[in-house]
Amino acid sequence: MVAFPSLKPRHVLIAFGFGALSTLLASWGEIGLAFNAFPLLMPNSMDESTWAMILLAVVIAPFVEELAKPLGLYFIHSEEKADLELKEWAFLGAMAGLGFAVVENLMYAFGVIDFGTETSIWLLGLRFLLPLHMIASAISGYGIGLWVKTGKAKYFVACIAVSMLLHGAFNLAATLVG
Amino acid sequence: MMALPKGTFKGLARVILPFSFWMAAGWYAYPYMIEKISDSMNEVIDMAEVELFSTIMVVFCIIAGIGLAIYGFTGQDPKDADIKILGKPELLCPYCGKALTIDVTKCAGCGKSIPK
Repeated sequence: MVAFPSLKPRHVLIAFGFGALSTLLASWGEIGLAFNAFPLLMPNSMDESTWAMILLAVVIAPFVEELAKPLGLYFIHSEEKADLELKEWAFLGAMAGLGFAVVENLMYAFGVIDFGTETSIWLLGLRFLLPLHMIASAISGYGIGLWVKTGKAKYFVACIAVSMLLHGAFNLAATLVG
Repeated sequence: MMALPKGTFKGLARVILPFSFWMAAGWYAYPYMIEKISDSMNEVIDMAEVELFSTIMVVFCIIAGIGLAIYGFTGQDPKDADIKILGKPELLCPYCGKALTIDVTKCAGCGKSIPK
């Protein structure tokens, strides 16, 4: 890869694979956090309260998902001690976001399969056309790169906070417009 | 606290740039896709609202993409050493309390010499 000279295919595979795996961790994390941190706000059935759904989509989901998605990057940082350029960390972040998006989009598509295969395919297409997870994870990945280069976690915390805000704003807009 | 060198985020801008235009294309197709989904689910949606929102998002994504392209492809990226220097331990100026890197001889805040 000419644009990313220090990147090895296994780095991309680790980022993508752990990104995909992190979808399941994020699902458990979101439900666990929602019912433990906001027990009074959460209805018995998730269909009952619009506010609970907005809280879940705008606050809890971005917080948990943005922490979970770069799982592979934490692994590359701690185990491989890879000496990568900042843009390569961002690219790995985007690949982690792609892995996450593939699994999440498939889960959403299977979730509406009762309405017919056509609905699932349109929903799958729509979700792949909006690469939010890749953008947000690229920012987080860049933060991990800055953390690796400087040894200061504050840069990672700042970048992941930006990606959480971006994700939350997108989810809020999508929830309001339907 | 030392600031990041100028242009630190140029690499990030170049990585995100294609996704911005991808996102613009997605928002352009959004009303059509939403219409197809709502038809297949037999639901009624206010399409005027969806179309207005998607137009706003297309314009926003294109402007963001142009901004990222200008920022990412103009000027120079900072050297790796300029970023790694931020990892050096900091010390405080004994006269004014400004945070400095360990290798400075003069305070950038008050201008006084730093005793070794």
